[in-house]
Amino acid sequence: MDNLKQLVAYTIDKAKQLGAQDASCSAIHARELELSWRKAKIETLASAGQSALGIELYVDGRYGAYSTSDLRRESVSAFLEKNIAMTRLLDPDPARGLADPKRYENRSNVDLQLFDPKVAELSPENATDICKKLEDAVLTHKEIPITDATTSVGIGTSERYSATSNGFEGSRKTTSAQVFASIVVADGDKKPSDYAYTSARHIEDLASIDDIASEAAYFASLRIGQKKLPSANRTLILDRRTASSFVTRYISPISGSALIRKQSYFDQKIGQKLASDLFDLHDDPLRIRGLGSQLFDAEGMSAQKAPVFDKGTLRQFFLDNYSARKLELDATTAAPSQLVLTPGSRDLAAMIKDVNDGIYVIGFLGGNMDPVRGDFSYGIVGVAIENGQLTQHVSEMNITGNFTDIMLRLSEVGNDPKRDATHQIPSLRFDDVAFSGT
Amino acid sequence: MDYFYDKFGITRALIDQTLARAMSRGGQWGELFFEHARRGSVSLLDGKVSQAYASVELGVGIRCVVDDQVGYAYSESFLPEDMLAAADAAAAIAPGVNATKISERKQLQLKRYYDQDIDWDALEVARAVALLQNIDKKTRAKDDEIVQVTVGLTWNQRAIMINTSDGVNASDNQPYFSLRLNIVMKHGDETQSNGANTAALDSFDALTDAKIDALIDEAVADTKILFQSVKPKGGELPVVLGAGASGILLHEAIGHGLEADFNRKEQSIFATKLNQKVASPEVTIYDSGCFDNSRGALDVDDEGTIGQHTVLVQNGILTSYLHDKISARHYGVAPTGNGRRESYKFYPVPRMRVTCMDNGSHDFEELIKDVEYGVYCRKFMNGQVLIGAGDYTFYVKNGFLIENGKLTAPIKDVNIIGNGPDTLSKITMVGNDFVRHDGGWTCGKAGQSVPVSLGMPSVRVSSITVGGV
Repeated sequence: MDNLKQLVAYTIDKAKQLGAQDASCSAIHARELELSWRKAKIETLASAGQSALGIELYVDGRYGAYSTSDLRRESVSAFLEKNIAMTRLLDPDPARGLADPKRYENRSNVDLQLFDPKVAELSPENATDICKKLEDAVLTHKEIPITDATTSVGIGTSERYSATSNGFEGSRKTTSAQVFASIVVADGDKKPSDYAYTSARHIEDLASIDDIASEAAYFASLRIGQKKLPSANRTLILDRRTASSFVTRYISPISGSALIRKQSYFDQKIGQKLASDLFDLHDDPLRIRGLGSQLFDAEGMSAQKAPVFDKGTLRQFFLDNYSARKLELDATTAAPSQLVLTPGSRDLAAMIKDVNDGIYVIGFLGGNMDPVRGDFSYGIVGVAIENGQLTQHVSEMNITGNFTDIMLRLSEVGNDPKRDATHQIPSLRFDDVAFSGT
Repeated sequence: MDYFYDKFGITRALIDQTLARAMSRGGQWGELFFEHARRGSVSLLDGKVSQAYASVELGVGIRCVVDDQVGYAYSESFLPEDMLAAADAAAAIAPGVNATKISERKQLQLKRYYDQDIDWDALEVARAVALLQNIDKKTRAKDDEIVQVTVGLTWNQRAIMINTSDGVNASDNQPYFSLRLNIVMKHGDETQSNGANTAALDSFDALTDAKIDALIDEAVADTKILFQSVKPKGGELPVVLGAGASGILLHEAIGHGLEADFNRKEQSIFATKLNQKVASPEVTIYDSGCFDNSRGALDVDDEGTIGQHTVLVQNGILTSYLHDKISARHYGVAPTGNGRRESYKFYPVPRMRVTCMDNGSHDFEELIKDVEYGVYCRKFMNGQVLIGAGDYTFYVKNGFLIENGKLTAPIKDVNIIGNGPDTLSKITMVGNDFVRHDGGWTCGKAGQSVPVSLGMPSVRVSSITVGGV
C-alpha cells in the first residue's frame, strides 16, 4: 500500500506542478487467478498481476479523466503533461469539480471485513482441487443427461489507494473468490446449458460445492424439453436470479448520467409513488463482507445507507457531483453499491403454489428498454405454472411491457435473496404480464 | 515490429528467452502478444464538450498451449524478470517433461486493410472538439423539438506484436474510431430518444460532411418516427429484415454458434451440422477480415494468423466453423484468422470479424408483397444467443408493420426471439440489396469485447416470435 500511496502523492503533486488546479487520483494493484476445469483436466490456467493509475484532472475550469497501466515515473509525467494539454482544449464547465470536503467527513469506522487472507493465499493447486471436487459433485447428478460440464474458480486480491487535492484520502484492500459450474445437457438436437455460482469476500461465506452442483443440475434440468406457449397475459414469477437484474434494469435511469441526458422516466419524480407498496428498496454500502461494500464512494464521499424507494415512493437519485450540480440537487453517490429489497415472508415454493396461470422465469435472453418511456421487451426462459404446479419448460418467449406500469403490479416479494450476491433481491411476483410466444 | 523495439526496448534476445521459458515444460506452441493500446474519447452534452477520457494499456500476454489446455499470464512490465515470471506461470499448464523447441521466426507479410501510419498520439483533440460542436449545432438546427443532444467520439489505437514459438512474427497497427449521436425530442408531453452511429478503422478524415449529415438525418428521422410508433401484436409472425444492420441476425443466430471452441467442446447446437444443409440454397454466409477500413477488418488476428475471408454457409450447406489455432488443430484444418482477444489481459478465442450474407435474387418489394400481417425491422440495439439451445434474440428499435403487402404503421421497442437453426431454415427469400453496416458494433464473449461489423441484404423469414402486447 505504501508504494501506491507514494505513487498517488507523486501524481497529484506533478499534476499541480504541470498546471492542474485540482486532481483526484487512485492507484490499484490487483492479482488474479482463474482456473477452469473440464473433462477431468485443467482447461485454462490464467494468472496475472496488474496495476493501474487513474487520475481526474481539473484544469482552468475544464475536466478530463485518464488512466494508464504504464507506471514508470517518466511515463506518468509525460502522460500527465499530454492529458493536461488535452483537457485545456475542452469547453469549460462550472459543474465540474471535486466533492465538497465536508462530504469526506463522518466516514463510518465499521470494519467491513473485505479481506480474507485465506483467499489471498489460495494457490493454483487449491483452485484445481475445488474445481475437481465440483466436477465430481456435478457428475453425481445422474438424474439429468449431462453431456459436458465446466467448473471454474476465480480468485482476486486488490489494493487501492485514492486521494484528492482537496483533502480526501482512503484505501481499500479486498479479496474475492468465485466458484462456478456450468452444465450442458442432451435434449434431442439441442444442447441447452445452465449454471450456478457462489461469490464472496471470505472463503467461509461461499456456498458449498454440493449446493452449487445441485443448483446447476436443477436449473439445467429445467432447460430440457422447452417449448413456447401461446401468447397471453399471465402471472410472472421472477426467480431471484432474474429478479436482481430486473430491478437493476428498472432503476438504471435513476442515475445522474441518465437524468442530465434527459433519458430517464424518473425525471422530476422524487417523492412520487411509482411502484407497489412492496417495492421497498435501499442501498446499503456498509454491509459486513459485502461484495459491493465500501466506506467511501468513487469521489471520496462517505458512504451511508440510503432509502431509494420507500414503499413504492421514489426517495433519491444516484447523483455524482457533476450531475448533481447540473441538476441543482445535492450529490448522493454515483451508483448503487448494494441494493436491498425488503423481503417478504414466503418462499418461492409458496409463491408458485398460489399461481393458477403463470410463468416462472429463470433467465432473461437479450431484450432492452427505453429509458425515457419505460417500454421494455425481454426474451425469457422458464417453466409454466398451472394451478400451482410447475409444468411445461418454456423458452423462445418474450415479455413486453412498460416499467412505469408493471412496477405498480408487483404483488409479492419472496424471502429468499441470494446471500452470496451483490444485491439482495428476493424472488418477485407480477400479475397480468404480456408474454408472447406462438 | 520495430515499434516495440524502438519504443520500449524489447529485443530479439528477450523474446527468444521468454518464449523458451514459456515452452520450457513442453506444450505444442506458445506465443508472446505485445500490446500498446491508447484509447481516448471526448463527449458533448448540453452543447459543451466538457469531458475527455484517455487511457494507456501496455503489456505482454504469454501463452502456452498443450492440446486444448491453455496456460496464460501477462505482465505489464517489460523487465526481463517480470516477463520470465509470467512465462513460468503460463508454462505451468504443461507436463514439465521436455522443453519444446522454439522455431526460427519469419516476419509475416500482411496485406493491409487499414492505414499503418495513422498515429493518434498526434491526434488533434481540438479538431475532435470542433467536430462535436459542429454536429451539435447542425443537429439542433434540424428540429425545434430536440431537447437534448449527446455526441461521443472514441478512438483506440492498438499497436500489437505477436511472436510465436512455431515460427511467426507479426505486427499490426489498428486505428479504430467510433462516433455516436443520441438525441432526445419532446412533442407535447411525450419524450422519445434514439440515435445513430458510425465506426471505422481509419483517420477522422473518413468523417466527411456527407457522412456526418447522413448520421444526423438518421438520428433525427428515427427519433421523430417513434412518436407515431406502435407495438405489434405479439406472437409468431413473418419477419422481413432490412438490408444492413439486420446482419445482427447472422451474428446472433448463427455466428456465435459457429465459433469452433463451442463446437470442438460439443456445446453448440451446430456441433453436429458441419457439411449439412442448414438453410435454403439461396443463403451464403461468410465472415471476413478483408473489408478495407471496416470495423472488424483484421490484417492479422491476435495469435498470428493472416486476416482472411471465411465462407461459413455456401448455398445453404454449413462449410466451416470460425477457428483459432486450438480448434483448427482439433479439426485438422487451417486456422481461419478468428483468434481474437480484447487485450493482452486475455487469451484469444474464436471470434467474428465482419459477418455477412451474400445477395440473393429478390427485389425488396417481392419480400413484402404477399405478407398479410408481419413486421419489417430496420434498426437494432443489441442481441444475445444461447449457444447450445440455439435460442437467440435481438432488439428492434425501429421498424414497420407489414399489412396486406405494404409497410404501414411504424413500430418500436420489440424483442425478437427465435432459434438459430430454425430461423435459418425459414429464410424463404433473400434480397438483392446488400449493405454492410459499420455501426460501431461491439461483441462480447467470455468477458471480452471486440469490435465487429455485419452486413446483409433484406431477407424474409417465414416466422419468428415477435415481442408485443
